Amino acid sequence: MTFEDLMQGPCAWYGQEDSEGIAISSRIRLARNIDGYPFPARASKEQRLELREQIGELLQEDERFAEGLYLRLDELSASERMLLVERSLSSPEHGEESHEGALAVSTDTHDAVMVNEEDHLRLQVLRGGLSLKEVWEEMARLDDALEQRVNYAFSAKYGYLTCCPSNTGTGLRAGVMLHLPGLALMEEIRSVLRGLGKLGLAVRGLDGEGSDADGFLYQISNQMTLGRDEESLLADIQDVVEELVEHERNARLRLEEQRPAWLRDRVGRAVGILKNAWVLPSKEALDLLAMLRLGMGMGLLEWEHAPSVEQMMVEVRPAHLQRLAGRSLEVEERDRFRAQWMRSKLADLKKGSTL
Amino acid sequence: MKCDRCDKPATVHLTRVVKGQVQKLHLCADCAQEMGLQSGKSFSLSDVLMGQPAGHSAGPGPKVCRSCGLTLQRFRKEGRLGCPECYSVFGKDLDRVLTSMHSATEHQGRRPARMCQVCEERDQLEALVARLTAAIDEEDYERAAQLRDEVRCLEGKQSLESGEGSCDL
Ligand SMILES: [Zn+2]
Ligand SMILES: [Zn+2]
Repeated sequence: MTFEDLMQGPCAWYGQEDSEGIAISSRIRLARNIDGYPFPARASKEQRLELREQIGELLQEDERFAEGLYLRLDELSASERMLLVERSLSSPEHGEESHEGALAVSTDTHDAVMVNEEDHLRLQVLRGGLSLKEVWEEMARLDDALEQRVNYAFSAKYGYLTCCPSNTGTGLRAGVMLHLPGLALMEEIRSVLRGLGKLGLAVRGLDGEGSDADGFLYQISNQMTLGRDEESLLADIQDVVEELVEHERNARLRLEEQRPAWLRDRVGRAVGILKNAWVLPSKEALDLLAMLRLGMGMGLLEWEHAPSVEQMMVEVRPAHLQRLAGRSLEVEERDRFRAQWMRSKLADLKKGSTL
Repeated sequence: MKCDRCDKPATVHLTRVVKGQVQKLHLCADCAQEMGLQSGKSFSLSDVLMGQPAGHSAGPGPKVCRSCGLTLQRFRKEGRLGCPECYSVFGKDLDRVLTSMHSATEHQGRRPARMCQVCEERDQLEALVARLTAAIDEEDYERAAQLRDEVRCLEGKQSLESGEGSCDL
């Protein structure tokens, strides 16, 4: 497998989602450290390099990763590192030159291991749809396999020891990516999401911490990691997500009942702009694609060949766009290229096809 | 070996496991009597050590992690730990941080398979110590000496295996 193969393939954060496309993907991350080494920020460069090679060899022995990729991030270009960030495989800090970071990607691109991020290991498993249970089983297998070969830093009292106390204990961060344009259009999104903090859950936009919800994409994840076991943490997210999916479903029904013309207008205008724009900034593209996706989810659009809107939501982002262009683009140039690419992409949408 | 409370030679050696932490106590016969320890009552190590002449004990808690060099000050400022050892060094501050974040300070959930062995040994140790205390109570010193050796042997094994250092006080 090569870096190019990874980029040719679909982005792992969406997959065989449910037909309405409300729950897009489920992700679990585990923070783990190797006993006997300081955490990456306080380890010496030599120790980080040693760990990086040791872990690379270790993953070679795992069938999921043996044929996959082991990328030493400082050997990649800045734009290649950005591509990984846009695909949620790496974080911006992780790619910094002085970190001696690495990223392992499994052959099927669903599993990844970040090496020398904030912790020695950040294991990540991703699947389409609301599939926390399946993702957790897969993760437990990966964690067990690694644990047989290394000594994790663990204490009977605190559990898995991590650099930041916010991950101590289970080291588990589980998140479900939701698409909630119906609630947004009904202006109910705030009141629905407001209560989640009290339940110990965090709501984030597409890019994780602190980002706006571009494209009405929201990630719901746990904040607590200590004092409760993994199953109970996952059950909380599962319950809340099921409830949110139900809310979104109802919002869409009410849109259809109460404001059918307005709904079609919003979807139709989005299609109109996407098909005809000559300058298209990233956030606008994502928000319009979200309307397109809503229209498809509600059966309002008719296609010869339906494009994968999720894939498009990845490809309109700066690093992916520049990869499509085959060169680096200034911001204004990028917005023009994005519009051009979008027009060609939507060419096979049937004429006047909002029903 | 001197008594932990005075300078007389210690003749009573106690090891107890409280919440997974091994506590050790070496006392002279007089102090042990005074503490009521021979009647098998539970003790708090800090209570016993309280009121000692200054400088006799470990003194004020360590402010630097000897393993990675992280200072308590820096931990307070940045909220990040430097290495696994930091968890035993900054225990009190850390528990406060953990409580505010998770409303908990103790792990529930998965543990590495190798830890299960350590836990088993910990249970064994706890049982041995209980028998040792009973033997001392009954003034069966021969049996107590034998049990004490077993305890020491098991402890030695543990400290070799689990480099976690949470047994340090
Ligand atoms: Zn004494
Ligand atoms: Zn340390």
